[in-house]
Amino acid sequence: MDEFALRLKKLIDGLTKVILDSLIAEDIDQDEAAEISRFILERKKTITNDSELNNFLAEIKDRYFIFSSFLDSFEKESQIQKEDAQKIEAIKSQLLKFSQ
Amino acid sequence: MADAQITPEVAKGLALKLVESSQVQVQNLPPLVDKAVKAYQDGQAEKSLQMLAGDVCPYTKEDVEGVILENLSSQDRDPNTRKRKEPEAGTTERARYNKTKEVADATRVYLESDGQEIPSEFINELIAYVKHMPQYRDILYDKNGELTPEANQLATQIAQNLLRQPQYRRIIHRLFTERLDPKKRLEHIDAYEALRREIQALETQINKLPQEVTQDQINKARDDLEQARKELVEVSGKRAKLEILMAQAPQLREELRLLNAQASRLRPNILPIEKRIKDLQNHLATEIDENKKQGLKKEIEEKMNDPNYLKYQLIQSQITSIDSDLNEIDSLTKTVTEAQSNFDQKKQEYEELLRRQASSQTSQERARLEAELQRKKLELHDLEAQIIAERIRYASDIIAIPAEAAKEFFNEALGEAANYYKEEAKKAAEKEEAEKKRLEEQAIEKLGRSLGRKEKRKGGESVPVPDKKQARRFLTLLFQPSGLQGFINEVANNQRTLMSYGLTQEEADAILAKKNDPEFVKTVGQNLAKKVLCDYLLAGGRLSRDDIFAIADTDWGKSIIEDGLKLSEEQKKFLESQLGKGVLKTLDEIKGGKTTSEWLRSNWLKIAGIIALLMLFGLIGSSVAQSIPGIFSRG
Repeated sequence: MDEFALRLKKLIDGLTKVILDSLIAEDIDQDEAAEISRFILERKKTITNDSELNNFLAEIKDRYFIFSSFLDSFEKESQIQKEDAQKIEAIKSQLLKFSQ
Repeated sequence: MADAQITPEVAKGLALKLVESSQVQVQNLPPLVDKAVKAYQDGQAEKSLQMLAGDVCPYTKEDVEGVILENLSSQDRDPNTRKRKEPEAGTTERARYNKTKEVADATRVYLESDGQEIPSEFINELIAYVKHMPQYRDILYDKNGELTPEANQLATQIAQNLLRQPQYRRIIHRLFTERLDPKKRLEHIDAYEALRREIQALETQINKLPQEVTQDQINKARDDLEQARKELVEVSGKRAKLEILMAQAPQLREELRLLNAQASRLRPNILPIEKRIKDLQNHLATEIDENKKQGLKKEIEEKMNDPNYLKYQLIQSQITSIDSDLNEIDSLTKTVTEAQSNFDQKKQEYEELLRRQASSQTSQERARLEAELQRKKLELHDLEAQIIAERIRYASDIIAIPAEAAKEFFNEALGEAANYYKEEAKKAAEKEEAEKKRLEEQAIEKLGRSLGRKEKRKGGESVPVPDKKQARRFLTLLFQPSGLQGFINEVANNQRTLMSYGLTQEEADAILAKKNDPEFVKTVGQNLAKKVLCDYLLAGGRLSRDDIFAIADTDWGKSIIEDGLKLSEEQKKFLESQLGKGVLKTLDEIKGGKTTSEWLRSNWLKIAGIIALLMLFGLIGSSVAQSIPGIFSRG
């Protein structure tokens, strides 16, 4: 599974957990859960890259209040991972230059 | 207080708590949510979403069969599998169970295949429902109320269309999930089974109690004892004989021993004689020659008269006699013993029954337990009836899933349409009502400007001015017993009358439509009457004493006078403020070039009438009236 697929899977897992927790806490009812689930499943089919995934995140955050906290954390975590990856790449590049 | 020590167990507990907190906590959840949570916990988040979305059937075939068997079979459980046995073949219960299972499984297949597979058991239920839907009556039935030849095909098409609707499938999913929840149980089943167990325990307890003694049992035992007693009496003669024989028995046995010893000693000599006698007898039987026969007979006789032979025969005879006596002892012993034993047993039985009957403790306990058993059996009977009703209802709920989903689907669809048309109708009604109101108000306003007035042309312009005669005519009408209604009837007699006051045809119709409405008569009639009274007073009309009392006699009069006077006062003040400014030429003309004071004095009667009215109805005190200069004195 590539990095994008992993990220998508992690997102779906997280969204599912939020829906279930909200159902249990009675923040939403079963009809709302069904509507949100259908929306996620439908939209998931159309996401093929990071840009579409980010659009999806913005859309779902805007549409359903229950996800706001989770999506903030998810985006933050993604950002940190991205920055870490960039730093590692920079260090690798410097090491390479140094060795040369 | 010292800090708690972090032992390995505490650390383990804390660690577990940390791990668990990331899990979705499972509580008493609705069945669908429960299944979705389980799927999520199994790492199948997408399947969990599909369940919630209604895309995946949450129950397996085994789940469905299990819950139907559990709720629709009255049979006991198999001791090995702990599942209930299927209902007995050929019973109503079995037919209901089979039908429910068929429809439930067909529904499950439909859901699991995402609507791609439609089992006949499923669509047939839907077709049957479609044929009964009033919405399709016109296209499925002819004029005689019979199904048309194409009805089946049409109903099938309708059903197929329904089955393709995502919303219909979602309703099916919801109903199926609710009704076939594997944890679902009949409402009274626990109470019913608990009661059955109680009854079984009671029955065991009762069976363990000693048998109760009935009077019949005692009577029978007494009869049996009597019979045994008779039999014992009957063998009493035999007992005497037995006793004699028993007394002789030792001697008899000794004699027998001696006789047997003698017989043994004689037997070697006797055996050849016996053999010879037998041979001779055989020979005699076949011998023809008489002489030889005589010889044979003679020899036989000689042998039989042998002293040893005769002695031996005698011994044998004595042995037989003693044997017979000894045998009789045995026989009599048996008979007497049996009779005695039988009597003893019957006596014991009878006495035992009498003893048990005398002790009432068992009977009381039994009576108490049996009463309780009876009560519980009645309770069980009631519960059984409830359980049967619940089974029927449960089966119907499942069989009706396709039809109920269709009904809900149509209600939702038609509900939306109905709401739309309802809203449109409301808007139209509001618009119509607003238009009517506008016409009505316009008409009232025109009437207010025309009633009790006449047109006067001034500088090419037609102006309505108060007309005492006209106003008086209406006032007279208002003083009649018919009051406001009579006044309105006169004013709004017909379209032509109303149009004569300058109303358009539509405005006249608006007034005519309301003229019998009591609320309209009260409010509009009163306002118009006020204007008429005001105009009358402004046109120089006076109210006689009778007029005042006539007004005072009516309900509306007080209000009219009060308001009419207020209006008159306002108009007067307004006119006064405008006097001399050349604004109101008409009133200037009325005043005829006089000063205000002169004008007021020349109209004192009119003013005095107003003041009198106010005083009459207690609206002002006489001291106030006195303070108005020149009111009650001619200037």
